[in-house]
Amino acid sequence: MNDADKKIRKLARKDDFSLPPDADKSIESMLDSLAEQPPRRMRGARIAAAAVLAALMLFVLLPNIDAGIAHAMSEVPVLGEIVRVITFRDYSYSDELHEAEVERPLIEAENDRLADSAQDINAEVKALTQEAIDSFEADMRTDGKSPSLLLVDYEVTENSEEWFTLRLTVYRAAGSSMTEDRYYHIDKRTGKCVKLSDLFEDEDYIDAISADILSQMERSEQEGETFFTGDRLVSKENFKRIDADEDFYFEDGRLVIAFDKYEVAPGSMGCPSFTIDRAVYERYLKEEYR
Amino acid sequence: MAKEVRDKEWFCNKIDEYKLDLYRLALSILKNDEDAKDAVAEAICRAYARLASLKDDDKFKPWIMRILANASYDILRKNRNVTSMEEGFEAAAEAENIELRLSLRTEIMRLGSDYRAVVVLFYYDDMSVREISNVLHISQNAVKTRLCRARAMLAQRLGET
Repeated sequence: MNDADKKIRKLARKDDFSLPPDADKSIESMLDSLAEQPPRRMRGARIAAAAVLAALMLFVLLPNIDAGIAHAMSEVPVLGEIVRVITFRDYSYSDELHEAEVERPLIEAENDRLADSAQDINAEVKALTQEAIDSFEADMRTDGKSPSLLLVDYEVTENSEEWFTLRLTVYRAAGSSMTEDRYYHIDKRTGKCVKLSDLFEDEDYIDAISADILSQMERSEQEGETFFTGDRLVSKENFKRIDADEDFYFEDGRLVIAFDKYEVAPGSMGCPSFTIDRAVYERYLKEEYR
Repeated sequence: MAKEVRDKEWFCNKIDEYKLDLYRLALSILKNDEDAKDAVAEAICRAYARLASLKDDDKFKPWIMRILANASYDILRKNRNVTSMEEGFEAAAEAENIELRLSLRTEIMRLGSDYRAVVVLFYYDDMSVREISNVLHISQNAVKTRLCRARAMLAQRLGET
């Protein structure tokens, strides 16, 4: 080590570089927003597209006939008596710069009453994952030298006697990253898929829940967090109200509204979610959900 | 000894341990606090999403620093479309920092973008040439060349000619 090195290293040691409080806060927010469990280990080696296609066709032709086949290809978590979910390994790709692992859930309902809802959700999930795969491949073709990553994963977050919820997470990074969590619900009592608007009599819940979220955002902003509210971030579209069918789920019986990354806050805030007190929306609920 | 479970708590503890190093590297590449925060958040998100691909727990730091470098360069590429803003920021930083000209950090920030990250990883994080090469996706020779030039510039500016 020469003298210049020694001097620079000494100065570096003396440099009391500390993390600015807002950077610390931003890291804390991001960590809070992470799922409780990291995505499962990517299993298996790279699978050639033809092999994946062949496996897919086999699955389509022989759904659930041979448990051995199903086990060989995927995990088969049995979740509840009526609805279960099988993993479809749709797509896998890896090279120096690009990586994709798409594990698509396929809902199977043993009860005919739930079969249509399961099919509807399966179709929506398939369209969403296919769009993500197409976009990943298009990025590789047009900008092959930039790294990109696509991960599609899922979790059954509820499978009780009355309710089924599946969360699909699509994570893509090419330039900047985008995380989308989609929630799919089946009310097992009726056999129907449930969107947020299906819970309520009319549209009045939208303003009530939006106002509550805005006031939660304002409170959080006083503690140093940032959302797209008011006039401060004029270059972004500020949050005003939720969509009629904004993503939601129930946690400990309480309604949680879930936003995508960048939807209502800068990327450093991750995927914000807001728990809504039942008192805010109870009067708007349909009779069967009261 | 039983292997630690890589759950959210494990990951959060690791981030807590290295958050200063992460922020410092992002800032060295991006020269902008807001972008550095975005890059760190982005890297945390990407790293958690692909935590299963980390082969060795002991390699967590270089592994996530590499992810962070990628995220930072992605932001840098996007920002090139708004160069006028960046120039404005640099001019303001220059004016504000006249009194601090002799501090190492200020001098590092005056280096070109190719040099800043190499210097920070070498002098602040004590990484080897090989590790830096791995984190920044550049050859070991490129690391050595940049380090050599950066060292000469810093030495001159810090009065060590």
